[in-house]
Amino acid sequence: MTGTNLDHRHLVLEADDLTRVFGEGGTEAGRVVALDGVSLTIAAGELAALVGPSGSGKSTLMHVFGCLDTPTGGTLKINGIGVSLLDDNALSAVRAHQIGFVFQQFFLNQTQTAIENVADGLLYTGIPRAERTRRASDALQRVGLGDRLTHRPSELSGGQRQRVAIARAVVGNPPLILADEPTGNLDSQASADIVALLHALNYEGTTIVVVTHDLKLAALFPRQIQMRDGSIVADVVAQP
Amino acid sequence: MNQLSPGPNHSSNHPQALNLPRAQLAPGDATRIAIEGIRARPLRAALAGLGIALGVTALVAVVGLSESSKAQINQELDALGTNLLTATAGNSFGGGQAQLPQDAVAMVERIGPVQQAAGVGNINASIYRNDKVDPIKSGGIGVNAATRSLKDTVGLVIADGQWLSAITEQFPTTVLGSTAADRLGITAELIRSTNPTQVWLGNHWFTVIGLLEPSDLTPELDSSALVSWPAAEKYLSFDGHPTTIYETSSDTSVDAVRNVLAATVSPSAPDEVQVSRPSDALAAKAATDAAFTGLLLGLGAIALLVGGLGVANTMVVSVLERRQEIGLRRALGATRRHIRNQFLGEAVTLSVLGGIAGAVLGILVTAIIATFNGWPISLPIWAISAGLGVTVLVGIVAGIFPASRGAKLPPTAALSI
Repeated sequence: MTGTNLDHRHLVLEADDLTRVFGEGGTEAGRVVALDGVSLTIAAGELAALVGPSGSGKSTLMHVFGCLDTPTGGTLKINGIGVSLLDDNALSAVRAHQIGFVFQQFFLNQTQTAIENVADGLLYTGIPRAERTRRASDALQRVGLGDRLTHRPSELSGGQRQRVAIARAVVGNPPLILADEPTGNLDSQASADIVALLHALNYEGTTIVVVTHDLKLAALFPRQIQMRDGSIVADVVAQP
Repeated sequence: MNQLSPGPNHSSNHPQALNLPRAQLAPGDATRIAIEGIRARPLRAALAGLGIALGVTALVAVVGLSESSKAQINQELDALGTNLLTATAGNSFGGGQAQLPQDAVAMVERIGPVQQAAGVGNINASIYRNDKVDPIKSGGIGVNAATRSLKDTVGLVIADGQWLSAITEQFPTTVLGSTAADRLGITAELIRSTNPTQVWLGNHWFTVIGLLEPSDLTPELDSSALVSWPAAEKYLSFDGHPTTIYETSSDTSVDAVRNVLAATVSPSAPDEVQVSRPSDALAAKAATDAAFTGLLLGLGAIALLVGGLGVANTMVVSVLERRQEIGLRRALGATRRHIRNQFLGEAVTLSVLGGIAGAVLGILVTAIIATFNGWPISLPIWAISAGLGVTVLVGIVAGIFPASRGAKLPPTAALSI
């Protein structure tokens, strides 16, 4: 069964025959096809895992989905916006307003408090500082860190740090959240907590794509998109 | 045509064209980020700003000290006056020392704007502490006949004793310049004592009746022994021809007097008369300082350049170290321009903070040295604002290359470890 049964809903991501070739124009030996014609849609409200072994192209796909990298072929729409041909400034605008990122290494500013880190998720959106701080407080409540607003990353556990990073990703309520190995640096208990948090946020309506190499982790999510050698080899939606 | 072809129609694909919000950063936020970046690494910031601080210190202090010493010289000139002119007998056409006419002083006094005039005449005589001293050891003290008006005309100040008077000038008496008194070993105590102090002058005993303070405008009188005009003629066979005429006039008529002075002093041979203004020598001292100031300013500029290199180096390292931060900011929606401006802002802030520290230090150095030398403190505001303006420029130049490098970093490369 595929995800096409969700197509009547609003699509936050539409990829059609995406390719990404590195070293194009160089020698044939230096040419690497990282994405070899990827077509995929993600509907609003989905919680999907993009899973594949190292070198399968899942990281490249996540970068392209996240508008951090541009495809060499095919078309991509994020929340209805055709992004394939956008320039660098326009892609920055799409990232600022349409996409939230969660990284394996958290990437928190060590000199800032939790609420300041989360508020930075809205830094480049043009929202005034007071409003950013207010929304950051709400986002930290959502991830269960309402009592850790003024803690610095060094005063938080690994799981709590990742919660701060997740709060930063959801603070602007973007249509799409991309989480790259969100549990990669966490122990099993903290990992389970993060998975539960992602489920809870998804239940509230957030669309999340988790990128991972871990099949067992991927199996915890309703939809698993499996990649190998730059192509999607399976797209499985679990029965509710 | 085929409507489905994804033609390179950028405008229709542009978020602005689709009425989507842009990525933006408020100026206040940009400033805060730049300051935070520096505060996160205070020691490095302090060391990088130090070079700039030293450069600005040098620039501000050099200008401050130069201005303060100039102010001091101007104060001296104001006190001494710039209206004193001297006319000196130069060399005659046939060689040898020319003489001025005996009535030269009287002639000068008759020039309209002249307020006071005095004459000094060189006497071919030597002065010794007593008659036992070897005549060869004359001590380099010149003996001069002086009119009584010399003291007021030149502004001589009596340190001890008294000046030549209508009574004393009839007798063998002398007033010594400060250097002359030192060389002869005649002190204020000797003058104040009841026993008259005598010196062996031109084979006569002369009584020292007064000592002079050093004179800024007429240093040539410091090393001379002054004898009254009548006494010189009576005891030292002085011929009555002055060798130098001093005169003062109102400030506004100095140039007019200057034009006629040589011809008045010596109508028959005005070319042999050298007219000069002693205050010019003092003013020239200020000008000499200016050349030295230029050299020091150059050194300050080099210090600033080295400081700029320090800031540039710090920023290059900073950009390399903070790849992940750049990647994160790009992921959060920062444009290349935002990243460039962030690092450029840090470089300028760093540089300006160094500049402010340098300006404060420079003001302190100026104040301390000026106070120590007894100069008035004079520090033009343009020097401080120019110093700070230059640091902004240095910050931009030092930051533009590393900031552009950070901005050009692809987000994917910045995020990879």
